[in-house]
Amino acid sequence: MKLKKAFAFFRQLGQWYSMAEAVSNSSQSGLPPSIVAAEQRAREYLAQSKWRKAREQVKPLVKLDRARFLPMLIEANMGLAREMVAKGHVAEARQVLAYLATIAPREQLVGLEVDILGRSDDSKDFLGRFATVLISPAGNLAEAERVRLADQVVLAFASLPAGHPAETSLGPQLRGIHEALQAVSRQEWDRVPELLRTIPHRSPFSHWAVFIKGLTAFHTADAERATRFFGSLPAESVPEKASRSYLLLANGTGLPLNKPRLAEAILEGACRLAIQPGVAGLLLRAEQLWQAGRHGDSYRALRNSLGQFPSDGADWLGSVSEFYFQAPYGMSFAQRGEYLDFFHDLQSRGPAKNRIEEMQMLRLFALNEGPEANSGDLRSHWEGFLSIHDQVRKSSSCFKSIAYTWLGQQLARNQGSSSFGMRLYPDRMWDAEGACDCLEKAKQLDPRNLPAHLQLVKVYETLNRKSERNRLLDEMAEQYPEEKLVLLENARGCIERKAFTKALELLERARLVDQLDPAALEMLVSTRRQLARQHFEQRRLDKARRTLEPLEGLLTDQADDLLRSRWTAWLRRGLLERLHGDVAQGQALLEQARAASPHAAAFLLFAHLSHRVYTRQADSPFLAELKAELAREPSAAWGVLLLRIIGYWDNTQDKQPLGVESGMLRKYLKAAAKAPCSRAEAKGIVELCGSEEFKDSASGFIRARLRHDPKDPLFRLFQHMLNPTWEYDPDEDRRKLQSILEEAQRRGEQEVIQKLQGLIRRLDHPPRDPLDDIDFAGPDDWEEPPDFEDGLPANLMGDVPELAEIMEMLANASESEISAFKKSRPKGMPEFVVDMLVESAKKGGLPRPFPPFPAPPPKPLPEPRPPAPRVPRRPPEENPNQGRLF
Amino acid sequence: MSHCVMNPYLVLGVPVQADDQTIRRAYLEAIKQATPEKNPDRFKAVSEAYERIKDESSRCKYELFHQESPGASPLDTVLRHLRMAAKPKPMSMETMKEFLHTCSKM
Repeated sequence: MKLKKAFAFFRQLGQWYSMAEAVSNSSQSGLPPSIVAAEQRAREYLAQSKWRKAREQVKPLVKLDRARFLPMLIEANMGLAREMVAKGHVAEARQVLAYLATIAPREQLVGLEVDILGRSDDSKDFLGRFATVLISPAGNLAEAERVRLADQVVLAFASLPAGHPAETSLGPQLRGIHEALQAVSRQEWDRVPELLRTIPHRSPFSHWAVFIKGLTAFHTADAERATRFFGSLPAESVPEKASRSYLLLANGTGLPLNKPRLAEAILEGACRLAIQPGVAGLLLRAEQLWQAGRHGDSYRALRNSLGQFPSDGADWLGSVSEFYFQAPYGMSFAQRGEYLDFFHDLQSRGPAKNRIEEMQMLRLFALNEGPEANSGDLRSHWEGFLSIHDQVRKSSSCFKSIAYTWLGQQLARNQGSSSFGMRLYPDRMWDAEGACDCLEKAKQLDPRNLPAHLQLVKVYETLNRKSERNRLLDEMAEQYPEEKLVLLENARGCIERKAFTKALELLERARLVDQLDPAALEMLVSTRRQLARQHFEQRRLDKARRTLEPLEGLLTDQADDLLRSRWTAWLRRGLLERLHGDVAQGQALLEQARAASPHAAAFLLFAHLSHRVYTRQADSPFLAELKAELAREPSAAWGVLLLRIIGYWDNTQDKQPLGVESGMLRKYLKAAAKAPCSRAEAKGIVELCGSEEFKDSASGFIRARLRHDPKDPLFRLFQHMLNPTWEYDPDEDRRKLQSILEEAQRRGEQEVIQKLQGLIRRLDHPPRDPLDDIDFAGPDDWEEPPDFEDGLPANLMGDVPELAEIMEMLANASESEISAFKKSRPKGMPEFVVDMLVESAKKGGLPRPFPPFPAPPPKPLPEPRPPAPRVPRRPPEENPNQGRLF
Repeated sequence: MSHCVMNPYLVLGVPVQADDQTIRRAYLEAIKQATPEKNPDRFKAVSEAYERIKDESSRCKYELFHQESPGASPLDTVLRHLRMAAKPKPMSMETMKEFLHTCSKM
């Protein structure tokens, strides 16, 4: 009862709505509202192809206003008749046509009559009434009707009966078309033009001639011509519809996926032509599922319907199988995960459909193993894949060797457990033993596999298995006597063992192999100097000098080349002479170096740092003069060189703590920022001030440049990168970057534009972080934190630029602020991390290094090392672009 | 979908087991037919395909690690395959008639 009331209510509501609409329309048309409403309904029925309803609606209206409503009645009846023809109800269609003949002009009905007679078996009637229409050029047929009639004639008759009035003019043309089609099917390409010559340009069958020319071009591999011919066919004609299948094959266009029936018909034509009949529907279904994001279902659709799928053949099935196993690499991370889950599920449900499916699934799993995966799983998937591959395709030893090299590389990759930018454990290999095992196997399978050898050297080096590494290097030196990479690797090992003479010999050989390789040249210069220094320190002065002599030819006049410039070479040699050899000669060389150096401060800083390294003392005779020089005339131009010198000595093997020197340089740069400087100089300074200790120096130069030109896009970008907001808001970030980009585009600064575009792209598509999809809020996600029995690792904090800011904030925070900070910590961040930070901040520094924890009481049995804690994902508010500019 | 690359064996028309010489012969034949002036797209595809499988090491690496998909979707893959594969033979007269009749009803 309630339901009825509800329906009545809604019906009433609908009527009110129609009435309101009708009143509104009638006020414009001048007709009574009821007529306007009925007309509107009729139009809706016509638009929806509801021909019967439209006809019933219009009939009473025609009595009221014939001129206005008759066209609608004709349209409704024509549609109804065509629908009947399409359904094969030819007799009923004839009745409607008879009625139409009483209300519609004759010429309007020709097309419909053609359709009806084309479906009937009464060919005589058809011919008698319509074939003659085609030969009268002044007939009342519209062009579309004429084409439709011609198509029906071609499809119905191969030739006209003798004595027919149209036989003389149309008969030869009709025969020509059929014979040309026959010639195409027999691949008699030479005959086709000759046969088509019987069809004049103005013939009603001319579009068939064009179609046949298109077919000839298509089958003779002239896709361009075929496309041109097919493209010129009259719309909706039979040849045009047929040509869509050919066009699909020729250039992949013309499949209306929004019209499934038509799409299927076109595709079926193409499949019938090129693959096999009956697969179009299946392919379309798989396509629709794929486009709808149901990738697994799409695969399943083909798997369940095609016996040979998946396959590795060279046919279309092989290609489409390959697609399904290669597609994940182009998917988003989430999609890929879902798709892989589908295959895991498929695998767990039962045996694979065939060996190809099993093999490809294992390859897919192995190549997509995430960082959180078990190394055993990776190995089992990869080795499973190799085993099936061997059975299916008889793998070569080269193939297996490359495969094991890859596996070794994967197992040797670093598994540093980072958490919020801090490293809880030092970096370690994923599976060191597994890596060695695989690389050894790769070496055995193919002794020519150089990458396997080189990778194994690295693994031994990381594992500190020096003797094995050296043995392998010796073996490699014998096996690859002229291989540059081996020579360099060997030389590196010798340098590490301080076997400089042997290293030099190897480097000279590497130089002979590749004269242009800068790495070999730089190592050569550096090693020769180290050997000379060793001789100097052991008072073998002649040998030391002789060792340095060959360097003369490798020096350069470029003053900013800190390794090979003349002034730095003289300076180093002068220092060594002064310290260990001829003091006068050393002094002379130092004077020579000072004169050749680009700036006194550069000379003094380089001399001071070299002296520190050679004597291993904090002080040097150059320090006082350096301080005075730095206080004299600070300038950005020389600041760049001084920063490079500090950076150079900070990266050498004998590096010393550079706190004092850095402090002096910071002071120098602070003063230099206040002096006038060019944009290029300021840019150079900012780019070199990447480390945390020089952040303030960079800020000073950025502020100075922005005071000079507040809209400068480069320095606005620097400022943005240097001072990320604590609460990271990607939208705000994008807005800022966009505004800078506009300015950069206005000024045409290509370098800045490229950087900005890259940053914006990264904001739109942040780099894939596999940890993003792990829910760390779950109860099982957090494992016990490590007990750090041996103290925390020295590099616990890693390089976290924002950490200093956090520590400063925490150091000055009140108890209530600390409590609020704990509450608002990133999701999944354990509280003990905050406690550690607070404790360290209060002590006034970064927690580096932490003092060792008190030794634990002896345990009855040694506990195995706890597994690495599950790595929490990057907090969502972390700026993916932060600090990247440097 | 990222970069779509058709199977190089298919592009060169050689079997998966083909050796260096067979592949080189097929490559030279293919570029003779599709010169850079005549058919630059095909020339590029053929050259890239050859680079991928020209020697045993490249072939092994291709088979083990290649990550390109032969198409953007299942249907796109089939159509690309058909365009790349040898041109189909014409339909027989009977099949053509049947096909044209189907088209007239579309």
